[in-house]
Amino acid sequence: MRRGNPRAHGTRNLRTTMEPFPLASVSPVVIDLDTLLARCRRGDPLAWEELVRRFQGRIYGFAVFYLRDREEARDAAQEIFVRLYKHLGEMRDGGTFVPWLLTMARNCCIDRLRALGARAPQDPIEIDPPSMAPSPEDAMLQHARRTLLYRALDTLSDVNREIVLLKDIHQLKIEEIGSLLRLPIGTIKSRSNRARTELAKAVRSMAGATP
Amino acid sequence: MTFLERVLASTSGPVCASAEERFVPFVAGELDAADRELVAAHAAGCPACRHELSRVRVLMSDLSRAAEITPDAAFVADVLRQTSGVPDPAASRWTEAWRRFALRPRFALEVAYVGAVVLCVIGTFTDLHVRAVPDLVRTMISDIKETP
Repeated sequence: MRRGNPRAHGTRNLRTTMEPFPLASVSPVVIDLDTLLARCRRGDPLAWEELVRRFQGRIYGFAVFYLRDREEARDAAQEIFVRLYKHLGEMRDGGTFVPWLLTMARNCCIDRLRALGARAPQDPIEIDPPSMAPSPEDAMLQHARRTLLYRALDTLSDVNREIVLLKDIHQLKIEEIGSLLRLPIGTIKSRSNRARTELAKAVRSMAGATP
Repeated sequence: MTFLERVLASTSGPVCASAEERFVPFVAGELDAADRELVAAHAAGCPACRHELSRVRVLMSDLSRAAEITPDAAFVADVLRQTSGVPDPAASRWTEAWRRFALRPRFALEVAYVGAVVLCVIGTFTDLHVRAVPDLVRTMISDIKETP
């Protein structure tokens, strides 16, 4: 009877067990926000990681928009997540979570701006070209359009820019923006229309001026 | 110059500026049916406004995609490291609730009231009387002395 080398057999078994788990075979199910929040409230660390992963781009983008400095924005975004973690018990359901989170993020950014005082950066927003574009040409085009958009946003007044940020970029409802900025709904509506028209004009003139 | 342009020129003047003001709400779907029809009809007959409308469409699409700026790859790990030292939110929720309860101005009065009620209940339903305590202590001490 022929026996195989037990050592080699053991090595093969070890290799088999050490192979990475085939993640591609796991169907990408997106957990709904309510479930994710409920799990976070129960103290599930994986749910918390997923929540950070899901909102990192949004919160970092929000902070970059206010602080205009990527390092400051990174610190602020981390602070926002730490504050969020401390207030996990107060977290609302999925429907009201985003406005609640953005209110907290805005307060945090305003606190930082106050602390920065005269050192508050006024540079234009700088972003990296997108890494997920189908081709390098698409990446360059997207990057150019987004840079143009940020430059055009800079031409708006502070309040109008904030309204565009909350309404058109973060898709908050008029009522939510009203309570966040403590402005009447009618003012938000009229300012929003004016701000977007101004923005469209600024983009057109900048695009025309760009060689 | 087309017939329509000639009529507009001699009456209201060019209407492109008026149409342009409605392009953003048109693309955002915020116009009522009548306004939507008017803008669509104007854009259908005006190449410049059609071009501008497509530009606004791109702008609105870019705006909705501008919410996210991806931070560096270490960001999530840094956040998890910072939150690992923070107390468990489920436990801190109870602590916070208890702290809020205890910090109410009436809390001391309530504790005194409950304590008085408890003492009354003990005094009423048990054989232990406060006046008997010194005798009890004396008996216990003499018992201890007598024990070899």
